[in-house]
Amino acid sequence: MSTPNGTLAKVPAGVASRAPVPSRWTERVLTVGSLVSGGCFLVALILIFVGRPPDAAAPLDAGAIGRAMVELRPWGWATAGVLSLIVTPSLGLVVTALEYRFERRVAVLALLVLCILAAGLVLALAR
Amino acid sequence: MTEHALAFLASVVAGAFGALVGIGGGLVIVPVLTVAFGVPIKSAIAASLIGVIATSTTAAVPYLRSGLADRRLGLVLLVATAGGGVLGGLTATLLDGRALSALFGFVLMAVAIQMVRSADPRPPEQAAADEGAGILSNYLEPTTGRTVAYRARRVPAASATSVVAGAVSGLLGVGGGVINVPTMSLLMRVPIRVATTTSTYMLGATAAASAVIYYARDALDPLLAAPVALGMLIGARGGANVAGRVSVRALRLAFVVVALVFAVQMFARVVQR
Repeated sequence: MSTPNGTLAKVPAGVASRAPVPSRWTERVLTVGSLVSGGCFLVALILIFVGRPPDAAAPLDAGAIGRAMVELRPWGWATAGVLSLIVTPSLGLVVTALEYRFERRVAVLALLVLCILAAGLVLALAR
Repeated sequence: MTEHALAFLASVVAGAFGALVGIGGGLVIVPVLTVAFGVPIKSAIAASLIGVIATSTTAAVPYLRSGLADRRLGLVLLVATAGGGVLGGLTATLLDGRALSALFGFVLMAVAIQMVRSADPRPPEQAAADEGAGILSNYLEPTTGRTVAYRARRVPAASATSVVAGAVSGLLGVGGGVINVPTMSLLMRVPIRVATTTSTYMLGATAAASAVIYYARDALDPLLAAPVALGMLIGARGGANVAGRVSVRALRLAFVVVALVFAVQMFARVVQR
């Protein structure tokens, strides 16, 4: 049952002997996510250091975030960085589920984690 | 501007220190922001969670590429840590800041005591891969070039422990690796290299589960999170690069002293107000 990339012990033999599941797309999603968020944070910090006012707006107003970014306000860029970073692991899970589409048990686990993250957001918004 | 620059510098130091002593930057930056900068503890925790996601997301990529991080095992435990993260995040937004300070003080003391006790640790016994139940897997050991087979045991017990790891992460803004790694290494008998890399892979989604709650409940200040995340990321990478050239034993001792000082400060905040 030992394969180069490991397997769940109860996975049927046919599945267990499958080729290793590449993580190329998950790696890409995580890399792009960290680069985008890191870039946004960097712009926010530069804007703070050059003296742009660090005012804030409503955190769930997409329009306000976009306007703040266009107006080169640090809050807009920092918020965009935070949101892209929070979303990155979820996107990584979606891609992981696709990469494991032929190993249903693992794909379901990835989607289950995604559902838990979504449930957390729903619970947080329902005050 | 000055406070953002100082928060950034403090986060670089915290990230490097956390990477060098193997506990992550969250356990250092939250008390620094709270005690030294006067930041409300919930904002400090939320900013630290963003730093944890940034560090984990970046560090996980080479571990996935090399196959050292066990995604199957990670996803099994992630179900539990993400659930715990949601519980921890929701609880933290309801708790008083003083209760969180007290909890943080206890966790700092526990980690410091654990660090003293494990000053000269023996490598955990690894179970044979060819017997019993559990998640069977293997990895290519980079130092020997040999394929090492292992079987992750006691999955239900480890999942229960992982709920606690996720809850602690969400409650206090720490990575959860201080619980995840011993859980996989000691309880599941997974090789330590796989345990640490898989834990790093798991931390991003675990922290995201609670960070989204802090954000939705307006407890996350992006203008604080930006310097903290960027600083922790730079510090963690720098710390990992110099890890072989500094005395980790001396750093661990320094952490014990700093953690105890911060723990006292955290307890002092409970009785001050």
